[in-house]
Amino acid sequence: MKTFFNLGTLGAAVAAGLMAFAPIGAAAENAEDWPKYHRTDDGWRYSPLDQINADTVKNLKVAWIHQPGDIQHGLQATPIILDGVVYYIGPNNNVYAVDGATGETKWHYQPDLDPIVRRVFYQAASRGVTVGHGHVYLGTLDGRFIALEQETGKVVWSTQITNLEECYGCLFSSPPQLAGDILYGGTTGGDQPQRGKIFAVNALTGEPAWTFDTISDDPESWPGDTGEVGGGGAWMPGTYDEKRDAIIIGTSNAAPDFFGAIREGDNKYTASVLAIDAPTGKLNWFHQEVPHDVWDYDSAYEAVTLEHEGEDVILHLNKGGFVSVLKKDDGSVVNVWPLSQTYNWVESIDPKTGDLIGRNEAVEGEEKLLCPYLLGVRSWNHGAYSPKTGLWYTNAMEVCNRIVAAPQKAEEVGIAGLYLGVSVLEAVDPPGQKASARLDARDPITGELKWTVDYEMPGLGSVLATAGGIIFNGDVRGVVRAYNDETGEELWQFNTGSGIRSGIVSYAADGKQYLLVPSGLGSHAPGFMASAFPDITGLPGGAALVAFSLN
Amino acid sequence: MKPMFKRTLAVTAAGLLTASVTLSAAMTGAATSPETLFADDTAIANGSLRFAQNCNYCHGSNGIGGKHKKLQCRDFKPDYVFDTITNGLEGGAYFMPPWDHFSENQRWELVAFILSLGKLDSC
Repeated sequence: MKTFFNLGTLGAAVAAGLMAFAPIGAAAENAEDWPKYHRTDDGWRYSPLDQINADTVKNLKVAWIHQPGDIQHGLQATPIILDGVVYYIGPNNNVYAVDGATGETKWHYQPDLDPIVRRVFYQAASRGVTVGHGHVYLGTLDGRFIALEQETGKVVWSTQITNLEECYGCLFSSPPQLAGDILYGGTTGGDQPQRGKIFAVNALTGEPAWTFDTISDDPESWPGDTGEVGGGGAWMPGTYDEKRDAIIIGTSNAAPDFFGAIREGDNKYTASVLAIDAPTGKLNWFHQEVPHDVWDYDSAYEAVTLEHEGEDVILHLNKGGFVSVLKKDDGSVVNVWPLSQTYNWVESIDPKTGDLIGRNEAVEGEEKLLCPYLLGVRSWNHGAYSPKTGLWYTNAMEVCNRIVAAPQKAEEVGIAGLYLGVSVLEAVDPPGQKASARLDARDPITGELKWTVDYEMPGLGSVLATAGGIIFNGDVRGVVRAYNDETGEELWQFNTGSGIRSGIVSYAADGKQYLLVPSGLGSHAPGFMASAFPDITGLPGGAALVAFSLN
Repeated sequence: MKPMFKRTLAVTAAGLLTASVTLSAAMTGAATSPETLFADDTAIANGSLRFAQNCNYCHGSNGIGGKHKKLQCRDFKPDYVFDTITNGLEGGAYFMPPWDHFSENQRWELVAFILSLGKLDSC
């Protein structure tokens, strides 16, 4: 039996190679596992397994399928795999532990959710669970953190964190993350009239530890009480910086999204990357990518840690289409490069300072075409970094929106409502060209394009890179494809039947490498992009966890 | 003017929006449908603004369609649209929350706008 993926049996040369590529601070990681949301705290989404490679990928076959029994908003999770057990969350907070070799259910848990979850905008979906301290943690649709026994799925503790009635349905759509004994997470989006917060509890007991207010108290930043409805939700998972005992996490846009006249100021700490001291919740540093955001340009996406010229740096994509490279010690700017090819919301961004140059804002009563549109140059689905090639792989799209800014009364926004501050909002083609989508392979520091593959419609799933030299990516029709990581040549594809809006991962169980594809289109993104990509209308939803192996 | 009465709507829609809904005025708080709004430009404009601020995300700009089938060029019964806005609708992968925090008049303005989408030149 081949054991290419087993570090204990690797030849010395291969082992040395893998060690060279090992994520920073990841010495204890088992190559066979996918233990965290991005697999490692470096946010790479890279599996060191290579049984599935350019020579063998053509032999991939379905090994098993697990269905969560509910398809509302599809499958959006990145599964967690430890010691051959798959932990994942389906629609409406259904959590499963599944045998990674057979697909057999080991346990199933679903909380009794408050009926208010049927009344809010961000319904049904969750992006995953977190496993640690012998627990499986979830953030719920009704505002709780819950710890389950990893072995049985029984509840260890449950802590109510938010009251959805009081915060326009602020709920946990992403898994709370671990930073040592701290479990932390933020709530949904910046599109509601709410004041964003990051909540932390003791991971062992569920007792509250600290709360970080993502809205600054500085009146120069938020005039009057505008910060009370200023957005700033940290709605995606953060990553733990073990070396500095810090949390790296991004925040959403400011609200109302496009009508900034009522909140003059820089609106800290919206649209920012934050480094927070994990034990205390104190702010170590921040980098605001979009001061006084009026374009719905969240900074909530992943932070990818790399070593550059002897220093730890963070690669961070903002919805506005620019990638910031920041020093991890203090957040200072190393470089800023554009992933977007059609941006017009700024003339440029200073690559040395990150300062916005030549802002182009929506205007009340006047229609403007602004690019990228509110879903960004990419949605929240993550990219992947391969230490084998030194490239960062990400989906991207070129779409604009037609906008007329308009005042909106926060008090008239209902629990399912949006606080966008517009009277006209439509996704449209960029000037002189059709809306387009692609998968890019780029140098993470300079942005230099190595290869690109066009897509019919934007990819909404997260990319996976592997030591087998394969890049896996799914599309909105449900087709998952394998590409050569050096050239972009397509090597394999399989139609799972419903779109990919999740995290594709890889793991090993009983000596065999698996590719695990959560299939099932969901979220609100397909709705808004339909005017630019009409064929996305009516694509079927679904929910199935599809595992592939070589035999 | 249509009277307030208990009614059964058997609604067949292709794809994901298939539902059979039994509703009553007592359940929904549905008011008599103010048909005069349906030809009122101000009401339609108010509905258009509310649609742009709340409904675009799923139904597409001007109801062009998105996650759900398009609202343009459809021949809706006004009460069905009103009841769906009021109560929401679940089916398959997607569901629509209730929008009953809008006043009845605001909901009827939305109905007026959605009905106007059935009379576009492109239909």
